[in-house]
Amino acid sequence: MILLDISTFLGRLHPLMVHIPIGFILLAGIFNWASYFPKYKQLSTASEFALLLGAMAGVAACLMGWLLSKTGDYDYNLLEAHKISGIVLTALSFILYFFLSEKGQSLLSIPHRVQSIIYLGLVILMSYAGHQGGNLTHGTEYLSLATLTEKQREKPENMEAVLVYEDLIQPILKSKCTQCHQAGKKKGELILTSFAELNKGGKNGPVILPGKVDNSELIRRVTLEQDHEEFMPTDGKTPLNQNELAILKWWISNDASGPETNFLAQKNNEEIAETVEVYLGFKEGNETMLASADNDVIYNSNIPAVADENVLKDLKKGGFSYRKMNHSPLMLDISVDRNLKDNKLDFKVLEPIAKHIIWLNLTKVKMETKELESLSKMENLEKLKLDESSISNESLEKIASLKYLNSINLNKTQVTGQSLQYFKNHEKLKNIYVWQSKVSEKEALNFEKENPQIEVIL
Amino acid sequence: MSHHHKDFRIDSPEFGELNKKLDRRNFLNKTSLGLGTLALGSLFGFDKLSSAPQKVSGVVSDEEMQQQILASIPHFAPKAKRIVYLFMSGGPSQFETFDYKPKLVDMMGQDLPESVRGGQRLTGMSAAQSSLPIAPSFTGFKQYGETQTWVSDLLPHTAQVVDDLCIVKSVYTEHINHDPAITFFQTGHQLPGRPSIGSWLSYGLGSDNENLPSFIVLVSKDGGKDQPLYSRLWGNGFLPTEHQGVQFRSGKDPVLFLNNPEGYDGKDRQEMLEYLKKLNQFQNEEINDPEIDARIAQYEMAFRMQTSVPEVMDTSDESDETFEMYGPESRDSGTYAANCLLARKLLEKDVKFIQLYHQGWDQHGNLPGGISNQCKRTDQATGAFIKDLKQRGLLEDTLVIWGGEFGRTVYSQGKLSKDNYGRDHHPRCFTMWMAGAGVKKGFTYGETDDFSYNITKDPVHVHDFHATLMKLMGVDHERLTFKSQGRRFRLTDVHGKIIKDILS
Repeated sequence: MILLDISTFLGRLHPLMVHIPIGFILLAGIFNWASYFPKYKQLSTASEFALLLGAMAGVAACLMGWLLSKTGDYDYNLLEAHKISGIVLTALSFILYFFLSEKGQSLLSIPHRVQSIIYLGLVILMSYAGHQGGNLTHGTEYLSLATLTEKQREKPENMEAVLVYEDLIQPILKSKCTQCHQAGKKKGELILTSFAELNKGGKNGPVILPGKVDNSELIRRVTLEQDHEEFMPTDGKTPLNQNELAILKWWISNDASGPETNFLAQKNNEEIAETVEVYLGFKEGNETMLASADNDVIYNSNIPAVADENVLKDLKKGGFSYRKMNHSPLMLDISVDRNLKDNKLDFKVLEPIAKHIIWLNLTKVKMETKELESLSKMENLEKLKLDESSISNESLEKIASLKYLNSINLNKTQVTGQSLQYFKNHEKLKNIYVWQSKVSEKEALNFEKENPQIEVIL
Repeated sequence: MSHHHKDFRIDSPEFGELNKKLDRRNFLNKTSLGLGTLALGSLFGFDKLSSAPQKVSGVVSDEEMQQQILASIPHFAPKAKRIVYLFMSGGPSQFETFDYKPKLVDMMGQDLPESVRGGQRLTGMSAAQSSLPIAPSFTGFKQYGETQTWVSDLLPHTAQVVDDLCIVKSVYTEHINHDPAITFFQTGHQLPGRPSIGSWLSYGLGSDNENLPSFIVLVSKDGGKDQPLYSRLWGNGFLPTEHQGVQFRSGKDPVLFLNNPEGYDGKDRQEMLEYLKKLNQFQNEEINDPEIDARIAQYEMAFRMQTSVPEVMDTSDESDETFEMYGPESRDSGTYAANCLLARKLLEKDVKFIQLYHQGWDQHGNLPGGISNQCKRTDQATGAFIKDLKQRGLLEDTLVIWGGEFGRTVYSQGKLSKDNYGRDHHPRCFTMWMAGAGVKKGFTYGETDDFSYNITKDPVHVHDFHATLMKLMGVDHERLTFKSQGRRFRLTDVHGKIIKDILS
């Protein structure tokens, strides 16, 4: 145990240690080159000593690097290149030092100019080894010529400026796919960094079939169950979220248009416009849900993702208790605190989190104008229990304007059959409970006939 | 303290709480060697005993991990807020309830083809039979509801609510005997010792009503007593003790040891409990046993239950219509019908998980008589329960589950005659139903062959059932885990697929 910890510790010092030979060997070279100037002539001797220090530090760096290589999961090819170049550099430094020393000079005397060229070679080799090391730590894309020539497209400022491929598709691929599917790695012989490469497909053929979402390999791979061995992105990397998936699907089903296609000019853009707005941050919404098979729930994008949760503490003071139904977006189920003694409810405490209230239980509550006012602000409300409350016929008009309402419980209230009319043609409403209210069976049946999607239960 | 393995204290979540309590000051107070020991301690890495669990090179301690798991729940927005599980203990026959197999009539008495049996192991009770004669159902079936679902004549009331049910005909298990099968259904493992479904949910989701336990068990007194039930079926296993199911009984003592003794008015009960709590806390400071915390919590719960239980058991508010709907037995506390009614009252109080057991479905012989009686005692109340929940608007956030631990064989155990036969245990397919929150209504899922011996379409394993149930409650069955004895456990072990097709 202790041995392993020490080796890990020393290994992790490698990135620090390597800079010592780098400094010394570079310095040795500089001394050598500077000694052409008469003023620095004596530095020629110093270069020899600097080289010795560099070579010795090189040995230490190599050993630590070897320890470090045992602890991590590094790319084999990069690691080999870095290891071999590092060891060769250290070895060459010793050899050069030997020939610069008195003993070596007696065997073979190297002219000053040749020395300078060898130093140059060492510095180049050192740069190569260093670059490989940098690639290991930061990734091969961190410092490359492509970085210089890459065109950065600014995020569009409004919906009019949005280009389908450049602003939607490529950023999605870039954030979730191109880490592996790029020219450097080419996993599955697939490159997703450009439109042309994407259309070429990978080793098993094309990955997108314009117009055929269900037959597109790319979509199949990202919608498998997460534990499926073909699921992408693999190795536990973050899967696509719902919005990203929806955009990709829309793009493929609408012929997978190429670069420089304006989003608003594309047909059927209205189908996905809201998602695009959320994706580009023009509109508040959530995109945290993962698009895997087990998580295919889509939440109402009108619910803000998070809220100031300090407000939740005040709910108890206002006479309410809450239950978190979901973290992101934050969805709340609110009830009247069952231990409440004096029955004094303060609806004001609900207002800061009004948009997060999805289920609300107001059984036996006295509903007056003030309370109704608060209620109408809970625009994402899905379930509302008003049984045994003092809700009046007229106030249902306001409640019927809650457009996500899925179920309303009016059991044991004074509401009459007339009031059902407010819910006519409500788009989301499924159940109205009017057991032991003033609604008659006949009125309920009539309403159901006119609104077959709504069930009136009594 | 060196005779303990160093990691003993740190490796399990129940000791995490304890680690927190053992802060430096306590540590000093408790070790008579004082500062020297502390210095020695830090030399040997006893830093882990300090108040905040420390991160060692990015490794999260088990206690932190457990807290993170709990904090991540709910994993998705739940459809169900509560569950009622009507457990038909003994293994009700699918042939006389929901799985209509008319072709069997012509095959009566024929030996079950080996190709159908396919090497299925039989219990010791019928393995020695010289033949396995096919036994058609003695009872008729009719189609009910808008969905025209086939339901047996023995279940006329359930048939009335069939449009609200989601019937799964293709449930299967591996177990052919009662104990392993029921233990498996209730805890996800055939051997005793794992937490039951209700305990997992109570642990993961907490309580919506601090005045009542979140996991309550009702055993009906009018079921046959053919197979025993044991309290470990609602046990908490390795989860903290306060998550075990609490059994409510019939009679004047619904919860044992809750009433005040005779001759004591209970006026100073609260004061007494305060002192008891203090004593327990003293003890806890000395011993640091998490069970003492559980005990303190349970005393407090019991005190609140002295008011809340009589309140919920009181049926004087219920109308005569309600009693009529549930049937005459519903006035007799402790019967299946009365328990269904009580379950509804508990649901109204937001009790999270109600496990209701009705025994007597183990018809090895004399099945027609036996199952008719069972159905008579349960059918009306079951139908009424669904109707009642629906009317009150409770069905849309409550999941109701009906089913046993396995099904029964197509062949007769013992002598077969037209109106008398028996059926042995059958694990390969049987019928369950669910109703309410998050499941499709008026829906039938899964198909079996003509012998109801093998599943031909859409199998649902017990693990899948568990995974689906947890999903409806907002819990990802793969993410609710608890570490015990060196490994992490979950209800579905390493299995379980959510049955998406039955979700609404």
